[in-house]
Amino acid sequence: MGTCLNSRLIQECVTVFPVWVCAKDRPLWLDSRFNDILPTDERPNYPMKKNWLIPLCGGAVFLALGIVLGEFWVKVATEAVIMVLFAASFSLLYGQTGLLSFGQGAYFAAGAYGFALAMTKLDLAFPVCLLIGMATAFVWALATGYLCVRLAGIYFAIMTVVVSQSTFYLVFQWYGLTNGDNGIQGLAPPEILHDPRAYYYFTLLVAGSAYFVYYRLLTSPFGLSLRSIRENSVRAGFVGIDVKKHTLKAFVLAGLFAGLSGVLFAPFTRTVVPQMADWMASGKAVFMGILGGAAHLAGPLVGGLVWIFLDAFVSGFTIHWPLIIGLLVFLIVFFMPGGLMGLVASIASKGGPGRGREQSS
Amino acid sequence: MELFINQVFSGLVRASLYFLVTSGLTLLFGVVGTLNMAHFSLYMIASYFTWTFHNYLVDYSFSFWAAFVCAAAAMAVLGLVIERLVMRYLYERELGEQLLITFSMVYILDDLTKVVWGSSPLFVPRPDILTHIITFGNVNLPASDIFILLLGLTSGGATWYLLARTSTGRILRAAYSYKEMLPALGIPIHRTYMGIFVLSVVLASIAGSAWTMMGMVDLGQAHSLLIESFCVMVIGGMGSFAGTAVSAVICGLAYSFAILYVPKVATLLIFALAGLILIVRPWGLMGQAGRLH
Amino acid sequence: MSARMGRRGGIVLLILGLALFLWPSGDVLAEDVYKIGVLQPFSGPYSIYGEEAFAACQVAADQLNAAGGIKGRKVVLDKKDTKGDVATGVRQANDMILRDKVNAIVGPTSSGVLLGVIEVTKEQKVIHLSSIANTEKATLERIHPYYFQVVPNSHMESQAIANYLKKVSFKTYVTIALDYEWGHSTVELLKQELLKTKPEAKQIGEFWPPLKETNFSSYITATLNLKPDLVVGILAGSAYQTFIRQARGYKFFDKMAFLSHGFEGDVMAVGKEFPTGMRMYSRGAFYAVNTPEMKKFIEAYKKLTKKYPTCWAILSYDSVMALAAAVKKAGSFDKDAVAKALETTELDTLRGKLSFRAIDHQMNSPEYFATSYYDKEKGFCLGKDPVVIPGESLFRSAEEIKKLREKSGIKFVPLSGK
Repeated sequence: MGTCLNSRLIQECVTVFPVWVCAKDRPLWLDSRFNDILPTDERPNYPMKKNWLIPLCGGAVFLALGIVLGEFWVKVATEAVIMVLFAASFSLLYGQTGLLSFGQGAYFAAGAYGFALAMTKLDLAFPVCLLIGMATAFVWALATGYLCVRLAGIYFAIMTVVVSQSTFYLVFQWYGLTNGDNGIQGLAPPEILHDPRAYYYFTLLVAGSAYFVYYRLLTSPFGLSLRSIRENSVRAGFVGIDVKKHTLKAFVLAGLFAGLSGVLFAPFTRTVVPQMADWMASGKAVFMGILGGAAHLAGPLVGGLVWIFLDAFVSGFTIHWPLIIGLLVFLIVFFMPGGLMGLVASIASKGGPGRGREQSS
Repeated sequence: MELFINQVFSGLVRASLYFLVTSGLTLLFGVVGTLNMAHFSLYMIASYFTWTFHNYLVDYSFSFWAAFVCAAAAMAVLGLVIERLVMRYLYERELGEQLLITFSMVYILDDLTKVVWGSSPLFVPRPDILTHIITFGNVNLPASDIFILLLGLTSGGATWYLLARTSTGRILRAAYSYKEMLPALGIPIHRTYMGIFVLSVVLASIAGSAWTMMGMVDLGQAHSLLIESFCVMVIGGMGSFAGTAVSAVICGLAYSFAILYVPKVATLLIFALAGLILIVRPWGLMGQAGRLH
Repeated sequence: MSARMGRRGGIVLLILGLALFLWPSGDVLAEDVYKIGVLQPFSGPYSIYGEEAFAACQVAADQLNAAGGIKGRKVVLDKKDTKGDVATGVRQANDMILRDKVNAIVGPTSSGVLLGVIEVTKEQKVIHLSSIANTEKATLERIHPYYFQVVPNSHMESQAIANYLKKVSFKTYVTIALDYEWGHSTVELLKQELLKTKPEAKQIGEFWPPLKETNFSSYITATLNLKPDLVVGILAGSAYQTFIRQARGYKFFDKMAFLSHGFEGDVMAVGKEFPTGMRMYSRGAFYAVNTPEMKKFIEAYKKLTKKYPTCWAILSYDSVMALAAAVKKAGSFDKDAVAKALETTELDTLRGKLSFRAIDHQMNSPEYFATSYYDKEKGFCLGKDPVVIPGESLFRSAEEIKKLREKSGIKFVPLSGK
């Protein structure tokens, strides 16, 4: 049964997924069944005004940044854009599906190592290496996700830690293939992307498209199903959502997002190391996701950007980054569980109560 | 034969340390339902406290034992402060938020430790009585390791006695099964919770002080145990005190023999075991099924 | 959702973003200073290495400035924290180069971070000296014209142990090495060398404790049961210190001849518990060098940190001094000229006159062997009867390097060879 599920999933991901992402708005018929489960403003028939102004402005700002910023800050911006995807990977699981994953680093590393090995051992072309990295992350997320999604709550969280730590040891110990703790270096992108600005625009293009996919995911019936599972997985099962299958899909998609950020990160730093897989690296995704607000569409974007720019800025003059970031996350989770986007949303709704995750428990 | 006995013994010493570090975590999770990621930072701070008190009292022959007790007292106070300021507001929160807040406390406490004690590794010399070697036939066992073993047994036994044989224990067990009922019976649940948190910190303190006899007091000591301890807890059953003891022994012994025969996978063994348990029996060897779903 | 966010939310976000972007960046270029970036871990478990290295660089900078700077320019240190993490290390290296406009970088500590930072200094063409991280991969494969390694690389160190052991009589030995690249490469080479030079020596056991091992008793008892003539320990940092304390509990050092490193940081940390009469080696032992320069350095270092210098401190000091000497020799601040000077000049270091080999930019740094004894006054162990094994005798031969590089398609032509 397991293999049957897996092969169907692979088939779906390869064939249906691209079509589904590119398709025009699907009618949300039949989805009134979600109404009982979801909070008011997340229901499918909730009047949602399409506002193109902000995404357009945001896009323009990002495009301008590549020209305006100095070389160092362009590099920081590149790192930030890549990390946005890593944060999105966590947010898809925690913010949307309600699964706390402390192990996204495993898929980040899987993507990065897939890319690095394809490049150094097989000597393939850059785009092919990117795809192989993604495929590695996909396979690893599918294999481990199959084990993880059988669990819920705290058990799921600990299982993801176990998986990421095992991935770390696997990479660390498999000396013949991965070079152990020395890692793999010299992963420069092709000549045309060598310039930091060129690589910035390249990552912007890739990450922008991926973020569009993220948007489509969140606004699709699939996204609604995930949020229903988050709110109440038992009731979600009653209205006909196959909870296990949906969470596995979400897990694999999250793994793909993490993998994509790993794949982009490897040629950015030109190096991969096993530490990319360990629980501290996964903690970074958690912190970025929480900082921005995991339940919001723009949460990972804000979280990733703020985290990386803050890190680059603060680490420039102090060695107490752990204290600062610890306090920041502490205060955010303690006083505004919705993260920065939760704060923004509560200000936007004219001082109404913050709609964070606290209402949804 | 000596090899066998030696490996069993060293496995048990390892188990004792696992148990000391993990039991506080288990206790808190079992009774209150909060998973405290900062537990290991508190364990590290306890080691630093032991060093500080030992340094103050270094001229006296009882310095180590006094430092042991003083560190536990200081940690109890610190635990009280943290409980009043932070933990109290976490018990009712979602699990995810509890994890995140305590995880951010790891960063804060670790950096503060570095600010207070600096980054040089420190060490506390063993008291003279524990530097001896005790010999049974061909088997040599260091007194300090025997002491750690005994410490594990006593603190485990004492906590078990508290839980199983006293009236406080009855309240705690009641909190474990029906926490909503306690206030209805007029039992101040917050005070109970505070007591449990302080107890868990004191257990961490005992582990931290015990560690000063085995190794160095340094900034990395929390990290090296964190994941392993989680695995020990999962294997035994989250929140099950007896389970933690059993799984500590299993993990300690398994590791001790694995490094002899299959050294390559010894580190992975404990993760594999935890993963297997999570898949087959998520509630662990001795936990109760369905309690957390 | 964008719609939910509303316009005011957008404005808040925009302001937040702009505040970050427009923060004054340190692009001020000061022409009259010579800036050296000290890239080390200053937070987290490895921060002790960073602090020692930085203090030593500070001593070097102070001495240089007191003597009128480097060619009239004041030496300024730029301290940046890697957090022991590659991504941060790479970003900080970029920050140093692009914003702070450093002339050279000294650091970092761990090999993984070093290899990441080398990729940055290669592309940005900045002079880079490694004083602590010592993987041979850096000089063998990832080498570039501006990268120099002051610390003896992993190959040299295991060669030194093998050379030293030729003169020690033993029939059986056991290795206990941490399960990572350094441990593996050292033990591999040691085994090969001993097979060649000492065929009667048999390895009767090997143990690979993991990097973060906290309990060595299983390894200790297993080793004791094998009863070897010699135990070689390739352990580092807190794991090494923990091993020593636990082995002492088993009276291990009374029963076994033990050879391992005596890196002063670890020796000082365990103080009285460090075994006496043990054969130990170091990359720069302050007690093994009796020169006025070393005395002066020890004084200055003690004044700054209240501690004796470790080999990390000595190597970091030498890195800064080598840089200064090269600039003087080159007669200009141009990096090509300085790199060329580093390749060709004989440099005055605390450890004597040393130089970089052109083919792999590895300094011929010696390894120091000594027998430990407890010094009551200082409160930790020192070494007596030091044996200095010169760096030239430890190098991998040029032909071998060429062959290895050819095999993996690496081309490297030193600047002076052009």
